[in-house]
Amino acid sequence: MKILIADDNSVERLILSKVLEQEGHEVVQAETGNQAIDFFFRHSPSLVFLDILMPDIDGYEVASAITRGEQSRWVPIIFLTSLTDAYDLAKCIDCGGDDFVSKPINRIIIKAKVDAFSRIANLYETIEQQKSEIQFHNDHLIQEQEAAKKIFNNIAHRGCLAAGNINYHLSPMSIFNGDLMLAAETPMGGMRLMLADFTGHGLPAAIGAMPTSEIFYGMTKKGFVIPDVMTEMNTRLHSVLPRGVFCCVVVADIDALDERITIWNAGAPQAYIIDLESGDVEQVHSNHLPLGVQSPQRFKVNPQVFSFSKKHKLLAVTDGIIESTNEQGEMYGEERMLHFIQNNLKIDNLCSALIDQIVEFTHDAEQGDDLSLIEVAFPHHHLEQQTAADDDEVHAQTGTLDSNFSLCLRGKSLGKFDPIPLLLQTLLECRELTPHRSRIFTVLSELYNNALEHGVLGLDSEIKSGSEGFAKYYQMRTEGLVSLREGFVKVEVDHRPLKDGGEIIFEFVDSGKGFDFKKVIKSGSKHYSGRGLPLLMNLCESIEHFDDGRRIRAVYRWHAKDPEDES
Amino acid sequence: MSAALDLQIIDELKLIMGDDIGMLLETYFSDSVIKIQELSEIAERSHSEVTDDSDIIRRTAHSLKGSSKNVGAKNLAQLCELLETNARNNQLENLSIQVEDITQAFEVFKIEIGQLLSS
Repeated sequence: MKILIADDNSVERLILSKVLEQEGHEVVQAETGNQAIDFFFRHSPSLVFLDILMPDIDGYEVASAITRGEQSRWVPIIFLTSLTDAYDLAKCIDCGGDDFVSKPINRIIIKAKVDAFSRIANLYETIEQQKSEIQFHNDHLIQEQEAAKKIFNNIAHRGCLAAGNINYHLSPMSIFNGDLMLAAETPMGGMRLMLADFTGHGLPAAIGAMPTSEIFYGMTKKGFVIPDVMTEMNTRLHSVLPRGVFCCVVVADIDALDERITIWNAGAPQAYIIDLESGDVEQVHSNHLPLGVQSPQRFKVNPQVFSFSKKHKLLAVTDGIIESTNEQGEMYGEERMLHFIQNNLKIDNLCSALIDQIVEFTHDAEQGDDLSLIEVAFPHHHLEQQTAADDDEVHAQTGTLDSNFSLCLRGKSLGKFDPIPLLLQTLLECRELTPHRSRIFTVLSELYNNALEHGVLGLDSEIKSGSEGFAKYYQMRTEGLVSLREGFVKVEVDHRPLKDGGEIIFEFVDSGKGFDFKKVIKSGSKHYSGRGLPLLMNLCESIEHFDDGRRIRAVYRWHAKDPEDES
Repeated sequence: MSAALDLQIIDELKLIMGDDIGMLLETYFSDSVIKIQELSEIAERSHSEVTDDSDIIRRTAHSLKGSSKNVGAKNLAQLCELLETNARNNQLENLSIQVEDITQAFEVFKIEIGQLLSS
């Protein structure tokens, strides 16, 4: 270790340097205060011995000059003093000294002090080194998180969250808070939304976002219903999520055609379906454990169905909102929130008003980063806009262009198995049908639901009218399906190529009592609840009923785009 | 037991300095001669007129005390400390006598340390 000695007394200097040299240190000697300052910055010693009384400037000034000038490293200063006055000793420390030794010089004391300071200096250096290592790792971590954020955001993309009927609040780093918001247009022409909240923070919370959003977008596009999608998600999350991590969700389908919402809450705070005209607020409580908790065998999804039209709004939140806490330790709570909603029915952007209200409540603008909420109004039906063609068109003639297949669902499988995705996927093996996905889905599901609900179950669509009608209708549908032992729906699909495209002939036969289709067509033209026939007639080239309405044949005509038309 | 030498310190000093103890003492002697000379000159001057050199006397006595303690010149260090105290309190009536005592004690130390080291 290089040590600077500043002392005007040559005898003291000689003895001290001898002691230090014997311990293996390199010694630099200064005879005056000014020389000491000069030598300090020229030789960069690791330790300084300073005499107090020197002829030019005293040790106190030298110490001040050294500590002022040396910012980057810590160099201990030990005063040599024959002074014993407490005031003088205190002054040594005040001006930047670290310790003092009294004269005459004692070899053992000097050695002990130097060893002690050498250890402290080593420790100090180690800490500095570790500090820069931690800094390095921290920078690295932030970089990785940024990269991970980009990857996650590509996979767990926002879908159609930007749609005009949606307001939402979600922090850019929300994925690392475990919050996930997904939205997609369903092939049926409505919208599906999901607000998910994974337990925990950081990467473990973000891991689940990948399979969740893949399944959400993948299965929604193929037309799977909520129970199927949630079952698949639960199965995947149950196998991939670490113990103790699970996912609270609110998922909802808004059917723009039938003006209804199908909603399921598993472990999330209650969602609100707000009637903006009457001020009624329907609260949808959780009726299931969160995703990822239960084994696939015990998992069961029972969504609720409500009427949902242009006068309605859906609001879903994560527990960050409810649990926002103010300085007094008081939680924002569900009661306050419900009160706020009821008092602000006319506000266009309830979402940002609610965030403002919570920031005001907590007096903490930063807390806003942990809050996720979504507000959804009635969506436009995208089939009403005749531009509805997907852009991922492929022109190769492949797959099921020239084919015939049929499927018959009997008793127990009716209502438990949803054949629409299967039929749709089989048809879409013909790539040219890709732009027609939504229309074909709509035709298939309308025809199937008519056959099942009105045919096999014999439900009257008139039940749906009236304020309690919706709930009653779907209650009856669920009960009917549970007790169903007999009956069938038979589907036959015949796909034939034509010169400029092709036609698909759908034939549905059910075991029901049949119906007076002429009457239904007449009354149905006024509103959609009459079996969706007007829409079907709009989408198909022809609709024919046979066998007292037990058999229906619909012809869907499609025209291939001439590749050379494209510009 | 000599009053001039602090044997404990001198033993320690021998341990520290080894063969260099002669060199150290030579340094001490030549430094001290100059300091004692300074004190003598002031004492002579103040004999005739009133002096305000008490600060220089205090510093010089302090310095001589310090190095004397380090080499084990016990009696000399004590005399220097007394002069330092007197100078701080501006009690310099006996300055000439005190300087004379210091000169003598220095000579005694030189002789005794010489004998000790050569024995």
